[in-house]
Amino acid sequence: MVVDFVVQESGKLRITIRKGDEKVADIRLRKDFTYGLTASNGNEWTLSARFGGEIRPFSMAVSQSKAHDAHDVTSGTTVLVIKDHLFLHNEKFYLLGGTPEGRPPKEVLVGRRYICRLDNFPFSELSDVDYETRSKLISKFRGAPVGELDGLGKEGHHLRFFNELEDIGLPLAASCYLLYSTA
Amino acid sequence: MCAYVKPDRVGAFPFPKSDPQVRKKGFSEVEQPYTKEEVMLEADRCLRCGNPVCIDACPVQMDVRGMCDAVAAGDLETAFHRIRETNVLVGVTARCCPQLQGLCESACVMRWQGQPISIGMIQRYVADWERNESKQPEPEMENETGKRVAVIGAGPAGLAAAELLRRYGHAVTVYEELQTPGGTAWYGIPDYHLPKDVLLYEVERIKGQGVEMRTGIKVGKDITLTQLLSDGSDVILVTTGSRDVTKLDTPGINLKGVYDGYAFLEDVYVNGVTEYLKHPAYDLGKEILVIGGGDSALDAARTALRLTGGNVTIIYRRTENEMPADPIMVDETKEEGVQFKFLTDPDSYNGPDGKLASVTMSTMTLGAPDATGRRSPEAVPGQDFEMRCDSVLLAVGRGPDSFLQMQSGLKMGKKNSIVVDDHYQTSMAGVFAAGDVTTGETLVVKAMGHGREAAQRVHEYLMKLEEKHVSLYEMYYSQKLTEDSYQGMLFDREEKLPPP
Ligand SMILES: Cc1cc2nc3c(=O)[nH]c(=O)nc-3n(C[C@H](O)[C@H](O)[C@H](O)COP(=O)(O)OP(=O)(O)OC[C@H]3O[C@@H](n4cnc5c(N)ncnc54)[C@H](O)[C@@H]3O)c2cc1C
Ligand code: SF4
Repeated sequence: MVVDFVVQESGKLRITIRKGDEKVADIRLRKDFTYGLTASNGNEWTLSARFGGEIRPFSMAVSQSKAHDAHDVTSGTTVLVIKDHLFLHNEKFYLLGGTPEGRPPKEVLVGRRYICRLDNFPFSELSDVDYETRSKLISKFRGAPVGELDGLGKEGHHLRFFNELEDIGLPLAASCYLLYSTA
Repeated sequence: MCAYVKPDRVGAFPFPKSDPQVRKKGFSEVEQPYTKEEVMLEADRCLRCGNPVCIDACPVQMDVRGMCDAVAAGDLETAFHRIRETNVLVGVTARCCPQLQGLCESACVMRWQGQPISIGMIQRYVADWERNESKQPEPEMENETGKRVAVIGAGPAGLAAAELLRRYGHAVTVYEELQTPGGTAWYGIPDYHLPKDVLLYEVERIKGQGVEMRTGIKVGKDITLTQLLSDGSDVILVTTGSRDVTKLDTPGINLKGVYDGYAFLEDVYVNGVTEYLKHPAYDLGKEILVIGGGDSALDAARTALRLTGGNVTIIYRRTENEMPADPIMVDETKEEGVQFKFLTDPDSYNGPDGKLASVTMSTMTLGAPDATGRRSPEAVPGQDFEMRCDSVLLAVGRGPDSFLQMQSGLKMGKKNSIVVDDHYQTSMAGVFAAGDVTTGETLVVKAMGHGREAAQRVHEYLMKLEEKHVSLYEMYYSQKLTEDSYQGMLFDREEKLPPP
């Protein structure tokens, strides 16, 4: 794993993301119940549970609200959408909490969660994934493990992943913390 | 406030179970209840999260946190009302949900500490207490609206929808083909997993709320959808579930002794095991093979084992790692002595005089991954072998019950499921559909969640509130934001700290 974050509550109303010993970002709850993610280099993102006109469990949309580089035209654009534990990145589907191919499913029932890349997934858009497929993601689907989540937010939620997810690393780390590890 | 129990003292995994050598000889329950002391200690391990992800993971948004909080204080009455608010089958789902497979227990943040809260066992204790010791009143109902809804099919989706619609004040009649309501939970899920008195009790409670149940009526044969609409129903909600088994064309499949595993389960359980034993319809012999890798294959195998005491072997074409069955159920099945033969697939069923005597099996190997990411089974040339047997039970999957949609011309999709739009409306005006007949086979609680969301749409349609649609999850979510939300969690959480 090449990218390694720890997301942890560091006091009331304050959540800090660290990379090694270095603080790289923090997360704040806003009055409108969205979250602001601010990186030390000035990049800012908005994380929102409401997108596409609805709120769903284990779903989150992240848009970049301010870019470090003034010439960066990505500001305001959506960089990550997680819907029902699934997200699409660089035309590949990933499942948060999937079963790695070849591993006994029993081993992943508790403890660490794996981020699995779903190669051969028979869809091209998140919105196309039908109910039956979504309801069988845990029992029938397997993927290539490209990341791991572990730990309660209070004590530090650890995220490690391969560099294929590096460009969305901070938004992904913040989302995983908010969706899976807060108590 | 929280007395933390060492994870291995009581907990979700492993839970108390009856002795496999004893239980495999009968149909009594496998999982054993906690004592009152254990259940209170276990409930008190719950952190009462500001963001209870256990509820997010529950398709009916059952108030897990509220239940744990009340049980920890010994207040079973409050616990019961909290969970019964959105879950009409509390005792059933406590037993049938694979809680660690993508549901509440798998989401519970205590998974990071080694063991999630044993939500199903706590829920079961509360449900059993209410059923056996202290009957509680039904939830409150809204005033009568004068609207009438016909629900077709009394499975989990139909029951959950009917109850919610009744609570909104609509007159609800459920039409069920079988003599007993409950759907697949009645005729498919074995007694050792779900004692039928638990289901029947919860069905009676729904009737007690004023839902009329008309059993023994097959809609599409005894009465049509058009007749129901013209006879006074304002809306129909179809929840006819799954029944059509996957057809195989393996040579010899029609030999006597090769049985449909789903029909077998239905025949054993539909009138109760005691009735079945008076006139057993299946001659299984002592060497029994079960084909399939899902939960139904396990159920067919364990039922056959209990009926015959014979040698039962499950044949699966991939390895245990690729099996879709709940791993906890796989363990239980092994404990009872059912054998597993992996990387094996029937090539032909053989026997003289039309009676099965053996199966020619292909030895399989795993090739390239398929669309599910699991490696595909491929036959190894020249490594076929013969397995002698007296009977075979096929349990390789089933899809939506297509009878009603075929008969009434409702638009069909994948595997003849009923196609619905985002509002759960079918191609016929005034007819909605939900549950496994629209999605393919899922789970009891998922069908219930689907049924409830459809009921919400039906209610909005009847009351002309469609413009103001709010999903049931969003209702719960906004309540969470106003009560004790993340905000509450972030502002005031010193007393909610996890154990050191
Ligand atoms: C063997 C087996 C074991 C299972 N074990 C589990 C388990 O342990 N846990 C779990 O969560 N899930 C389990 N499931 C899945 C679960 O039972 C289903 O997902 C769930 O029951 C679906 O609910 P439903 O209401 O959509 O359909 P169903 O439960 O199938 O109910 C549909 C009802 O409609 C009736 N009906 C059909 N056509 C008509 C008609 N034309 N007119 C009138 N009535 C009609 C049927 O008789 C039936 O009662 C199991 C399934 C099987 C087959
Ligand atoms: S997630 Fe677990 S610890 Fe938190 S409220 Fe739910 S059951 Fe309790």
